[in-house]
Amino acid sequence: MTTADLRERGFEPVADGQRLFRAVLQATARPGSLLPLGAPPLEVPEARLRGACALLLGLLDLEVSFHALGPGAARLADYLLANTGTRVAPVESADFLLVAGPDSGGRASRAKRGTLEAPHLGATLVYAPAWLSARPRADGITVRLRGPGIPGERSLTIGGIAPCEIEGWPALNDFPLGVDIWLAGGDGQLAVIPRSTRWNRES
Amino acid sequence: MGYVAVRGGEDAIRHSERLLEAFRRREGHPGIQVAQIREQMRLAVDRAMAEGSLYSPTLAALALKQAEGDMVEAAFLLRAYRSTLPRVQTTPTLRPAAMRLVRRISAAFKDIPGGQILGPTRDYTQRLLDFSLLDEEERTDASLSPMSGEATNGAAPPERVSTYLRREGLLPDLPGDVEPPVDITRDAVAFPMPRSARLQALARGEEGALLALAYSSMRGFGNVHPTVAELRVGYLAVQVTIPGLETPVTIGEILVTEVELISRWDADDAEGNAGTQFRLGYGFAFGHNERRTICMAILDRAMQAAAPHAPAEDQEFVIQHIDGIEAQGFTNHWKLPHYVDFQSELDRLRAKRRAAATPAEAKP
Amino acid sequence: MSYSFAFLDEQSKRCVRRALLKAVALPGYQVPFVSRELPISYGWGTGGIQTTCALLGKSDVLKVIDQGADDSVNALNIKRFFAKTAGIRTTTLTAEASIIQTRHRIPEERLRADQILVFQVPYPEPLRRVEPRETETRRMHAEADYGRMYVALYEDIVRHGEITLPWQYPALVNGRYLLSPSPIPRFDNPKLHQADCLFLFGAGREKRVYAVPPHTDVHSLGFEDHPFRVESFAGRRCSRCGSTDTYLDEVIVDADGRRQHQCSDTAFCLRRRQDPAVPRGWGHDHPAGVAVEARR
Repeated sequence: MTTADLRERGFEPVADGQRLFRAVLQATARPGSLLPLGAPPLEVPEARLRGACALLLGLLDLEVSFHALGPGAARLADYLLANTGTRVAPVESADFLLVAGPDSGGRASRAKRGTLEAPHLGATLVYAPAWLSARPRADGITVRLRGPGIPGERSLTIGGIAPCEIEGWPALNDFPLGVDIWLAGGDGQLAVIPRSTRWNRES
Repeated sequence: MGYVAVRGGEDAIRHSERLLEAFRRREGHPGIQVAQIREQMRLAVDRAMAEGSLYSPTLAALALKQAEGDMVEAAFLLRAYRSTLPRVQTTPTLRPAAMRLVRRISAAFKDIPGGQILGPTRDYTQRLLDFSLLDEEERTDASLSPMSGEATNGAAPPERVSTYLRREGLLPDLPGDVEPPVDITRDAVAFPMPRSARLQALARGEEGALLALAYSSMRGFGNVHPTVAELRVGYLAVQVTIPGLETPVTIGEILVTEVELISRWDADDAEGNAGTQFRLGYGFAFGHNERRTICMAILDRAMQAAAPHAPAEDQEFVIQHIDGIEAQGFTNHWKLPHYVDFQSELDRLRAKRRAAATPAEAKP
Repeated sequence: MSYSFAFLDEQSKRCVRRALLKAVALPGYQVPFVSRELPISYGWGTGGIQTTCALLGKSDVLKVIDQGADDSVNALNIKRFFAKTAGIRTTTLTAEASIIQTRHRIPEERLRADQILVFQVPYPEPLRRVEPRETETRRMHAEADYGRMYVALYEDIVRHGEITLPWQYPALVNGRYLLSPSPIPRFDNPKLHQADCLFLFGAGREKRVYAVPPHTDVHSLGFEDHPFRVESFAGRRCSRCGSTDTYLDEVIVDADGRRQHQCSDTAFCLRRRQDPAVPRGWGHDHPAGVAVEARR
């Protein structure tokens, strides 16, 4: 497989990059709320990964690093390298972590969380759940969220991410240290849980 | 019509631009050609390139013409243009030791291997106005071609003076592993800054600011007793790597100035050496820029102090205040409307004065 | 030669975008970013401009104000810059705008959830008035060590009987980071608290961006016995629309030094002239009636 084979033709950096950025910006400003991601039809192995890859195509470049985990990680890494000029880094130092499967095998806990003097260096974790819902569903995990950007409390149900993975998320944060979590659903929806959010798990 | 007028703002800007043009290019005078500025105001061009952080004598000359000779404004034009240019690659490291020399002097020794080459300098001229230049005729004598770099007569470029001092152990050895240099226009660098970031900031700094701060250091607000070990002016080849080719390819030459400055260090430095070695200050710039590079080397040296005792040694003080484009922007911004903030200050002062005028009724 | 959409090249936009995303995740924290030189001077809004450049899409509608006015020469210059480099629609109507770039004021009408307010910030560091060194202020934020700011405010009270800061009044965001709201008058500070819109702050020369998300606590500093207060314009009204609850500019109208007052927010003044009952809408948290000074 050559670099030319990996070249994505379905992504328009100026327009798509801007639109996707506005979506993730709004999602970060309103944690747990659902936004339509409107990802273009990228040539990635699984349709479920389109949203996550589109976000990364828009925001990765040679000034940051990433690490891919899970099934098909190697090919995803090649794809992102070929299309963004970004760099691969170990889990502990990567700026962006892409978790392609239902969990990270415990490795998300090693993602960098920033320092008190530079909390912004904490990583961004990108997941590709099968679906997201504002209303609870029996086949998903519901979390209740509070904090900046949330009037009162907001509920989010996530399908396709392992319960143990979601249970590990609170321990990653000790504000201002922590990671910011992007959930790019296979159903075309986006939700973000930044480290400023306080939350607990239900069901 | 106020500064903030309901409809007049747009007209005001347009009219202002037309006035600028009228001042820049007055009727009845032949236009200055960009080539004339490039060829006959080379030192202005060189300074604009250094502060604009972009090597292009033609564009620098254009910027100076457009800015009517305002140096900081010209550098600003170049910086803004530079922002739009894509970064193709980082070239292999340039080696100033391999410079094709036009000028080379050392104040440290009377004679140096390779010789002292005076080159084009005003240092020993008398500053007498030359009125013959008021009506200069076209030059027909082509016997002296400038900046041809013939001075070394094809011989291998001489070794740096600092090399000899290192061999004798009077200068610390060059560190074996060097951190890759940071680029302050690409990376968000925090204080304390690595040396490469400080040098880059100095290389782009406004020359007046560098001069004032370096002067403060030499006069006594600092501990640097400098000697110019070597000053070089000459041409450096610029190379790029092409995928598929083993060796880099030379794409052209740039004119540069380099200074290595040595000073003793009286107090204990960061590593606890108490004056047993010299330390090096380094200066480098695009074009022929001697004042700039000497000041740069002095400030580089001063900022190596373990703890700053003088403004020139304090890297936060120096680096934050030497960028001409940042400084001029903020200086000029005071001309923007500030009436909302000023309103609050007016109210406050009036209230104070009223309270002071009627002390019996004074309220907190 | 042609320029990129909204001037900044895509790589620069990504750099600003990544910084903005971290800023929203860390309310009130100043995220460093690498500021690009623009054709507009540092000190003249380049931080706000780069933020707007990173946000702008073809369907956006942009409003730019300076001191609250749409037609200030600087606001017009910035609008021209975006019209030329992005070809987007601009407006003077606050309600029509999706992005509002502002210098020194927050519009009088409450902004909606679909709107973003971008501030031009000359002094992002609220602690600079008590500490000139960057390495030290960074430590103070890291350790939430804001004691010296409280001491400075206390000294103000001792000297003048009250906290005298007229503008750029420091506020604590989300109970954690001290923020400089940019040189807006204290009158505007309460609008940052539990708002519906997103606030983004850009400082080009100082190379920082920071953010206040909607529905976030923003409390301007004060003491129990000397709480934060806004200015009062009691006894004054706008000579154009009659408003008594907006921030008023003072204008000298004749050679005798006679004064008049006008709404600083020119767009809102226009609306009030057409309909005096238009509410400001920033809610009960805006204590427009709490006086601090300015007796006439």
